[in-house]
Amino acid sequence: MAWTNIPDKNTGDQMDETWYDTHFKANMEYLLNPSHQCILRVNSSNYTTTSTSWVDVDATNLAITLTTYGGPVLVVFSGYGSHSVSNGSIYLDIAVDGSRVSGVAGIMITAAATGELQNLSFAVLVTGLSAASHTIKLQWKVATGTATLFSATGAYATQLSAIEL
Amino acid sequence: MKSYRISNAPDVHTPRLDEELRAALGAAYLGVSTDGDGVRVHLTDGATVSDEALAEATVLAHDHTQPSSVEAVQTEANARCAAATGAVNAADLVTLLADLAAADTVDDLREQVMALARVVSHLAVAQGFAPAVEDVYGV
Repeated sequence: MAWTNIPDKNTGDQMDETWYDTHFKANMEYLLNPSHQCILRVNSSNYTTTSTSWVDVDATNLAITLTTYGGPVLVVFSGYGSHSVSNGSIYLDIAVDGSRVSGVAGIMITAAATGELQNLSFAVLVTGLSAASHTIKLQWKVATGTATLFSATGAYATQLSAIEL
Repeated sequence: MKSYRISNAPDVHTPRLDEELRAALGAAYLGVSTDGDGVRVHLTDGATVSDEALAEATVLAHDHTQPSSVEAVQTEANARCAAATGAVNAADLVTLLADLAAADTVDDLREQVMALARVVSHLAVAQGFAPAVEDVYGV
């Protein structure tokens, strides 16, 4: 299903079946079920990183490719994690087509006691995307120590979702 | 930044592997990530082919059963804390204080004060504040 831009109509123009099917019916159906993808990832093991530069969490399995039509895209991530150092920070962000959407510190930072379970979930509305195919990836980094995102079998699943609004 | 994937990596313990890679690669090293499909070593743009080879060799030689230096220190501290807590719980404070009150010689008093000091020092160790008095005075 795709969105089709609706052309201006002038007085006297007819709205025939083709117009109705293309510009009304199909678009209404797109609005009911817009471009979206939801990844519920149960990995073979937890994700970890010690990188102090932004890196993909999983460029293959936590990546969403959507064809959008100029609307804003709501990206939602949910997951749990921990850090190896007391008050060690975990930074999270998303990258759209390789460019992170937020500033130097990303969308969110968490910190807690060593090994304490932390909620790493966030939502972000991405605007200004062109009508085209876009790839969305979860990225992260740390300031020090090791960050863990739980995703192993029997642990917590991570979920990355995106939908054009 | 370059990310160098090692797909045939063994099981890894990330904090320990991070220390090993940092020691081996120095300034060329930015971090390491795992994603279930292998290990990615993050290197600076200036990293060379030999840096990549060294990263791979370091990962392949890694022993995931070994703790990191930070974890080893923490494990030792936890063991000392548990031992100190056990010593405090085992101390008979009622008898100790009665013996202290009844001490009528300098030697008796010294012995009872040292016994009390050991309890206090074990409490301090259990709370993470100080070394045990045994470590300092060998008593």
